[in-house]
Amino acid sequence: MLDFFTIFSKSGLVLWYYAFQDVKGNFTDPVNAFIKSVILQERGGSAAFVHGTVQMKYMQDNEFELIFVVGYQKILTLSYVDKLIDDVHRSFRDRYRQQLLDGTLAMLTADFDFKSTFAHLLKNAEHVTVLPKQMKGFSESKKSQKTIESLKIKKTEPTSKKNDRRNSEIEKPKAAEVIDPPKEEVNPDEIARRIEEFKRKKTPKATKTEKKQKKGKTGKQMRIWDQGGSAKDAAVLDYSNPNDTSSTNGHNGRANGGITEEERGWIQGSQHIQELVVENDSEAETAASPDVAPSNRKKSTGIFNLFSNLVGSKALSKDDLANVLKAMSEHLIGKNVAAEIAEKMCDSVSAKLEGKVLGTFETIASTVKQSLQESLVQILTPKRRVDILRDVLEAQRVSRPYVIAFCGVNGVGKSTNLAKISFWLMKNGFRVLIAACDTFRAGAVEQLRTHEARLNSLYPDGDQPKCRLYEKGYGKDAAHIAMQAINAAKEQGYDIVMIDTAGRMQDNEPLMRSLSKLVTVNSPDLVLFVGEALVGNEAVDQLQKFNQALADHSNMVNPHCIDGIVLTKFDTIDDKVGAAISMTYTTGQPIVFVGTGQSYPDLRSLNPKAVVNALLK
Amino acid sequence: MIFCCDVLKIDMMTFTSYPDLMDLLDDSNIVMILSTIVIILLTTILYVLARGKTERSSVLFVGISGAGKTQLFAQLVSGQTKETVTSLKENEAMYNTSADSSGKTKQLTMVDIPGSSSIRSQIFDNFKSKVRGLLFVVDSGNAQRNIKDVAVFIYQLLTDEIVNKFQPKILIACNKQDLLQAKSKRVIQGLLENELNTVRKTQSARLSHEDDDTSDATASGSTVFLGRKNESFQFQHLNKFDVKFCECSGEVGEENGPIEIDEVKQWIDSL
Repeated sequence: MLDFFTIFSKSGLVLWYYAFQDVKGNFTDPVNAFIKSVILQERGGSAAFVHGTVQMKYMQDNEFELIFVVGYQKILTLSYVDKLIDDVHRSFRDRYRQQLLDGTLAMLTADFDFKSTFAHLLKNAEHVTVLPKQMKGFSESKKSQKTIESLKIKKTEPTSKKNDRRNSEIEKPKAAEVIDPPKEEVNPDEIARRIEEFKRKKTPKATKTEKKQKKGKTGKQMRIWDQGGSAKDAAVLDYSNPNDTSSTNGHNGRANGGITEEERGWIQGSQHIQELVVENDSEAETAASPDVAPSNRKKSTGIFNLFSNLVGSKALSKDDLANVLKAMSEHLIGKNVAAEIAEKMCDSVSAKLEGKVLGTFETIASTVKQSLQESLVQILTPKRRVDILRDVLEAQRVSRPYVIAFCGVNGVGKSTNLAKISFWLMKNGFRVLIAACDTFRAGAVEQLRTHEARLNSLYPDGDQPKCRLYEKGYGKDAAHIAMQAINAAKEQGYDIVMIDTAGRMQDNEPLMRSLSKLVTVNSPDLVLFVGEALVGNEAVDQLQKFNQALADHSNMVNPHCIDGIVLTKFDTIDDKVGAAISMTYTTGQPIVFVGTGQSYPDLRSLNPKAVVNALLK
Repeated sequence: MIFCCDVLKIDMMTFTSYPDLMDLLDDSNIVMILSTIVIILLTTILYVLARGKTERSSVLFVGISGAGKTQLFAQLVSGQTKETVTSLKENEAMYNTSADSSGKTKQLTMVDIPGSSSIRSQIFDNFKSKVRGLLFVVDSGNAQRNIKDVAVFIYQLLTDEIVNKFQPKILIACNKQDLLQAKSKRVIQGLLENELNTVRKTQSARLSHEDDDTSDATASGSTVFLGRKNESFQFQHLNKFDVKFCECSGEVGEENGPIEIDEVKQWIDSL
């Protein structure tokens, strides 16, 4: 009934496997998918995983660094699988303990002839039928054991009980009255009474408005019209600032779009995005930590081995871990990691460490902290290559524009960060077209126009501007504008199209559908979710719902979900950097940019080690 | 001479005027002090020698996920083929090179670093200080599809600070030659050189316009420009590294032995 059962070491060597009909290929794909999704993404807390039609259950042995995985068809509900894994684990471990302890070479050369034992265990497990629960007879129930005395209602405490009963009696008919009116035969008196009640309920508001009107009519005041006025009002109505030589849109009258000298110095900066420097007390810590890690990992040699034999090794149990992990979880929550993410991380670390044998000079706390640090760095490190410049060059080679779309909730900094990223791309020599697909918010188009003017004055380029805004005003369909913008970019030779969308709440179904339509119709190369670092538990909800909406409303087999995250307002949090973890854990996508301020050079790339150091400090 | 004797006389006189010092400089005390000095010297010499022996004797198997590192590792170390799955941790084993002309064999540590991008840099950092040779495994069957990821990884390796400090020998092994669609090593070398040409351009700006931020330099770790500035990238231009290419396959052949890992073995012997 099982599709496969494998035992492999965490370092990738398959020690033994059983495959249905001995078809090897049956298990490599699901197991690889399982490893990538569960272990590498630190979701080790849950014990089951589904890949296609195969349901997998697994167990980690942390003492010998092994993983036991069993796979069977999802539609079957096999009740003996858990017990089977336990039995196999115990018997395998006992039988091959020596080879497993001897190290990699022994594991490679040893012949794990486990087939017969496994067949035996499987047969045992299948035959143990779980008996259905027998119903209890009266003699076994609790009531038969109560004495008659305890069942008597004493006269000393009738009052409270009686009152309760009476109140409940009164309330019930009221409820019945409210529900049943259309069915009853209604008395005319009843009707009159009800009309009175209804009026009474309604009138309090009416009396209030009447009072207001009465106050207003105490004296006649001359009415002032908005559009009209005489010359006498000119002084009052003049809002212009005599010192301000302003032209339209509040720009400074200068042609350079209002750029100061200091801002002009931004062109001089590096073309590469600098790495994020999280505020640390000692910078030396970050440099020292890679040295610390290897020494921890070295197996104790020589003299210490002797001592370890004397002292005896201790295997970690769940209780030992529980206390430390609870403290760690609270620490993470204190650093603004979403509560459920902190819980899941700690469950995953606990699954990774349970049963592990500690070295001589290691404490539980240090082991847990080390393991948690590795897991956090693993989550923040991107799973795929993140190199936007390379991808833009690739798109340039096939002469089509590279399209980036920005989405997110209201007020996270989409337009600001869009401008920053455009600045960086223009510094690297590309021509950018900004598509104003936020046709809802007042001032969105003007905001982008200001950015366009400033960027162009920073990078002037003859007659063809390096940055252009494509806008169609307000109230139009965003997806259509985006499509036209991409076509215009293709015709006019712009390398990159940046699509700015309106902010929307993740619960707003029609807006989510419209965003999904924009993504489906225009198929951008990169869909970036913009999230602010200040967000707490909301981050998980936002990302889940955005991803879900993009997947559900797309009507495609492979929907285009969020590809990357832009973490903004990073300068407003000191070291409470937990939002980074929440966001990457929820989606599994990397953080591509970090925004650290409101001016154009304030763009950084993520440095996982620095962020994790700040998180665990 | 007379001056020295006078000085010595003066010194002795000053010494004799302090009876405590004379007591301290007893014979037994002098012996003890000398012996402690000798012991300290001996231990430091032994420590330096011992460290010198274990320093830098690892061969690291690196490459992107699915290149075939774990299987190649298993072949080399034990001569057996095993089924493998995606590695989560490193594989470490000792390997004895075959006897060279003078009959000596070396013992090297073979370390197989997992290829998944989220864990490889962490684990690589643990082992890179002991690197003597870097074996970069490439999947020849999927070379075209994965070329960008492979090139970025090679770039990161070649510009890593510690790798630049130790300058290990590098072998790029084009694995999975038993597949039909496997490309030859010359084709793969050409593809890599093309791609690295572009990759170093997208990264090169970082090197020339560095703002004097020292933490940045250490964090990015790249203060080198690969190859020659105005020419397209070629592996021969790298004067710091000795990069070789070879073809190999870790699969079981008809005779129940690996088809070709001899070139890899020869390279390891030459380290």
